[in-house]
Amino acid sequence: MSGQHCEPSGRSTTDTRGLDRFALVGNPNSGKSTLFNSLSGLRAKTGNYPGVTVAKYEGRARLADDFVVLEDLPGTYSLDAISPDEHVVVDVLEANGEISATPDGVIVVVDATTLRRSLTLLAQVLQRGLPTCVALTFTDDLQRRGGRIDIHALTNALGVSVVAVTPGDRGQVTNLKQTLARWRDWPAPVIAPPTDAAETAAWASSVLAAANYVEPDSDARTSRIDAVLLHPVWGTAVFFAVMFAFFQTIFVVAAPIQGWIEGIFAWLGEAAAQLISIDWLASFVGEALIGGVGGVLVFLPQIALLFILIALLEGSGYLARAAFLMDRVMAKAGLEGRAFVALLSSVACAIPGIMATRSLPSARDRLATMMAAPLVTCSARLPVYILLIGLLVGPDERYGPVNLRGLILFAMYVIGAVAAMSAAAVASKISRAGGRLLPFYMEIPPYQVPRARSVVAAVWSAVGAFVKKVSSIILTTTIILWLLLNFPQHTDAEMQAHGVDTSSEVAVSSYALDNSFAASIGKAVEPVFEPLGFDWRINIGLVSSLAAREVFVATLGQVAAAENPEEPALALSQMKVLDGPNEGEPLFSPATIAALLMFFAFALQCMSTVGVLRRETGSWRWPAIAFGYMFALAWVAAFIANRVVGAFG
Amino acid sequence: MSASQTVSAIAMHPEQVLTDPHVLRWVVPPGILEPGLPTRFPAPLAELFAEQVLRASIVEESAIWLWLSPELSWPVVGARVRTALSAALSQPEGWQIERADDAILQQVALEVICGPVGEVIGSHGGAVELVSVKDNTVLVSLTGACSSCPAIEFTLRNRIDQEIRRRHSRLDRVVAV
Repeated sequence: MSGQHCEPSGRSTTDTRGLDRFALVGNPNSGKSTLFNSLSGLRAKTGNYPGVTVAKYEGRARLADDFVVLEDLPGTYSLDAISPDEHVVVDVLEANGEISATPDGVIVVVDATTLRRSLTLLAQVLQRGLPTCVALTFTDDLQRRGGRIDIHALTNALGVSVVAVTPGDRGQVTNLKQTLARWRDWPAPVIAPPTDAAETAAWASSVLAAANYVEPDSDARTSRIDAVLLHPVWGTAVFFAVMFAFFQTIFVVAAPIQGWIEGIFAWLGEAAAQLISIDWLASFVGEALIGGVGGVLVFLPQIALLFILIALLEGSGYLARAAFLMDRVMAKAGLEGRAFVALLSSVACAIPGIMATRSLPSARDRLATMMAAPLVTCSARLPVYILLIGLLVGPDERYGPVNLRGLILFAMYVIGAVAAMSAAAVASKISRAGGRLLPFYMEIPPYQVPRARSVVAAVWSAVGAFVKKVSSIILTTTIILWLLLNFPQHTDAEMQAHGVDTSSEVAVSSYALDNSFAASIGKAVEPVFEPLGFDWRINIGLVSSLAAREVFVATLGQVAAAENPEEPALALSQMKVLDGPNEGEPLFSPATIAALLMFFAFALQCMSTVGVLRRETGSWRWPAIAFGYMFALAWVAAFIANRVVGAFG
Repeated sequence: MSASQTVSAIAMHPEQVLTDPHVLRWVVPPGILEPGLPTRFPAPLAELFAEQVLRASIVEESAIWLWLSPELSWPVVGARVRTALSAALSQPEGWQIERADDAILQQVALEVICGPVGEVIGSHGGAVELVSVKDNTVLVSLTGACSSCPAIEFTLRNRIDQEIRRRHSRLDRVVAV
């Protein structure tokens, strides 16, 4: 217990101690994080608040001659401490908060176009009595849309400093920094705003009137379009038409580009076969790298296109309307709109969807949504679906004017959406004890032409994440699989003893594959999957896809490349059932493909999602429940699909 | 009793007055009270005067000035005064106000001249001073750079006159001497 060792441990050693601290508080979408990045120059340090699973963003900003610490608190509409996010904000602003040091000053970021709503939060912050200043964002937007604000009068009415700041405007950011440097002299309101809700609203009205606030016009064009797009009937019809066109586009536009990439890999495969003389290396490069990893990479165009389309829908302002429309449907199921936002994020990936549940105030709704999010069709399922649908129907098959492949893909997304919403509704019904829905704010931005820059940025980061996933987790799993598929090695004598014609290369590789470690694993789980029409080769694909769904594509690519390195795609479609009553029939029959599609639609084959569920719920219980119920759902759905399609096929 | 019945709260907020920390200008919706010097208050506010928490008041078209006793401070009694004032404003018939245009105009003109308008004039190298207020007419002296400034009429009409008139519509005119 000597004094030297009594330093509190576990504290960050970076020199933020002793520096002045400022917390940024604001509504979601108030421009708070953009301002934070602009002040701290993107040098944010991320971590977690102790005890709660809310991300903590901390950065340093250089003022005139000193550094200060900035803390970007989660976006919130109030300090009522009902959601985990709000709880963190309240705790930080408390004098003796448990989870973070109390800041020296608070910067309340206020969106000038939604000033009335922001003032409620500001009133609650001012009641805390910490030195406070206001950063007023989007004043350019306000002016453009015909609104008005007298900042000087607003300063007088609020009794605190108000600084207009557009994060991109260097002069205004400098101005804010100068204000921060003078935090010891910040004016404080003589009397804190009232606490009673009605009185606070009256206070806000009075302040706005004194500041000559004129609300921005809702664009006339926007309201005309919204009359149709937010209409319960027409709006829903348009929504489905848009989504339908969306999935047609993925097939029609991306197919030729995918063809080119496949061409490149075929050429690489041939070159590798000719140039590499070491047998095992040729097999590794040809099967694992080109057949496996390359087999996943060819879906890059579809991934890029998916995110281009999402970015276009979001940038134009349509996505917010779609969320608004769906909110009405969700409310009928007893779920609030925020849950839909979380489910919508899951179209890209379940992980951001699960993170988005942090904004849900009720722990029960949060769990219900988390249990449902992995059912939404995520972008990792896309390569699997496209491969399987490609095996099921030809590229030019049509149903009327509609591309049949696109139609089936659309159906898969509908199945995912319906399954997720039903699961969320059921889960919340089981757990809800008659709680009422809390009010929910959603921004409905005006329509605009999407900015090329933000579309490019969204696609670039999505493509980057996909390539990173392919080159890390998918590559690793593929290498392990290659080892499992090619070992143990067999001597000629051993094979001859089993009646294998060692002069035939096909017979040798077939024997090696059938007696590999992978085959043992695949056969070990066969009793579970046999009723679904899967053989050990599909099983090993399913087992390996637990790492990431795309690995299924890589595994099949590898197995096919091992059987026929020249034409892996042909080998896949010509694979035969190896034993049992259906021996000799095509393995990928419509019944098996239907079963696989259903299995992938429902099963939780993603260890990253399981890991995030564990982190967000704080125990293994919920991920275990999710994995279990989704596996059961997947098995039953696949079984039914197999039998129904088998009966008709 | 009536103080707790805030069915629909009256829109109001306090603003500090530059010259005196003991005064707060409570901005309220126009039209509730006639401007002037109050001689009788409704019960909730009258109590605070009886207890000598408050010591003076004037009524502008859309603001009420309240002077606090020198030994008290607004952060301590502010919330109580706000509740009382809100209740008092919901019974305008309980107020008795004597018309005193020039007294009100004096305060308003002083605030405008010392406030943003004065700052703008100062930043241009000029100086403005209130000379007197009589019969709704304000006399000011413009000195410094103003004395030879061609924009002097513009400043008088569009800044000083307009700002004062916004708060005191009975203003007749502003004259430079």
